Amino acid sequence: MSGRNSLMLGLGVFAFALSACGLSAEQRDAIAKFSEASAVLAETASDQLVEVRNDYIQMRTKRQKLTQVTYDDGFDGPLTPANIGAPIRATTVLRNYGDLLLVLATDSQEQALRTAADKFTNSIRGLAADKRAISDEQLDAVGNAIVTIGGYWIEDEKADAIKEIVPAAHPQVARIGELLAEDFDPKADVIATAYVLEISDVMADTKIPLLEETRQSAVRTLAVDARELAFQGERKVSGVFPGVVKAARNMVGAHNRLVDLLISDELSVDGIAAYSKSVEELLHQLSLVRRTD
Amino acid sequence: MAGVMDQVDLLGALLQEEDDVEQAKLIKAQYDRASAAAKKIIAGNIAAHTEAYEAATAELQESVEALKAAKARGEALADRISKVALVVDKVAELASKVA
Repeated sequence: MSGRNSLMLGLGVFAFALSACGLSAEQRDAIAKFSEASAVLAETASDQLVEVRNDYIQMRTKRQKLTQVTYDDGFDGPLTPANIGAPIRATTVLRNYGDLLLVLATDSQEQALRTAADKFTNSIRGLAADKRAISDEQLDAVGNAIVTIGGYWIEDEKADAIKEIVPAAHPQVARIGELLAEDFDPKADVIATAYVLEISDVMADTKIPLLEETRQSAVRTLAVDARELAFQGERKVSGVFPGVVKAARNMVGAHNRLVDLLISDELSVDGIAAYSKSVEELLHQLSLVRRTD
Repeated sequence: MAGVMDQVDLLGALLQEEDDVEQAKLIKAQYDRASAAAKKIIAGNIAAHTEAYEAATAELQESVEALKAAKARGEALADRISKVALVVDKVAELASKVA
């Protein structure tokens, strides 16, 4: 094997080693799906938690007007800013995590590398033709090689980071997902149950005023208003909460799938084909450069 | 906890079906006791959830910081690669002056 062929083989192995260490198409797709799932969950859960607290305060306000009850735990009961803020902060961090993961997996530095490579090749082009031992075509190949090899190098570094960070983050992602699923499950005895209990209290407190015909019409009107609020809450519990529970579990499932793909480091047929094409292009570019030897 | 909430549900349903005011008041008193007991348990569970969220969020934030650092490293690497190209560029410029 000639020195040139040995070099080409070495470069080929080097390029494939770099490309094989990057993320596969499936892994990128799994990251995109998780990022989307975390964003949907964060938005829905945060909105609903704020609404649940507001509804709770409104229901208690109406009950207080109706029965003059005093609340030892305040109008927001256990749904304090601290207790509602904790899951909202958790979903915000979850969303940041998903967003950053997607940026890291998809945001190549190609443009920055291309700009530098273009600046470099243009300056060589500026030399008089007889003072440079490289043709325009070969110069293009050098520029492309800077972008391609630099790109592989950066992709490799980022993929290594993702493969280390994502599996390590899984217990926290799964924990937050499970806590959120419980918070929106009326049978789990946390936030949704507190909400359902308040709805039930409204129904209980309004029963007797509506039953007693001697009550003033203003009191009866207040009772009807309070019941309307409770009915709206019931619709939320049956119509919206199951969707949030499902979104939380889907998010955990998406992250779990991502961890599996990163750990197994499977290369799909498409992924292998894409890598082969990249390596082929790189070798072609390098072969053009080497012709000037 | 299921027992207390079941009791709340049962008494709540009985109350809604009751047409006699005095009987309804008796059920309501029982309902209020069951509801108060359920509220105490739920408040404790929610407080425990808050602590669990805070712990998991703090740990996940560390992963977010690690991702930010990896992103910065990628950008720094691109910058270094660019600078290598720019150094070669400078050499080429100087070479043209000498020529």
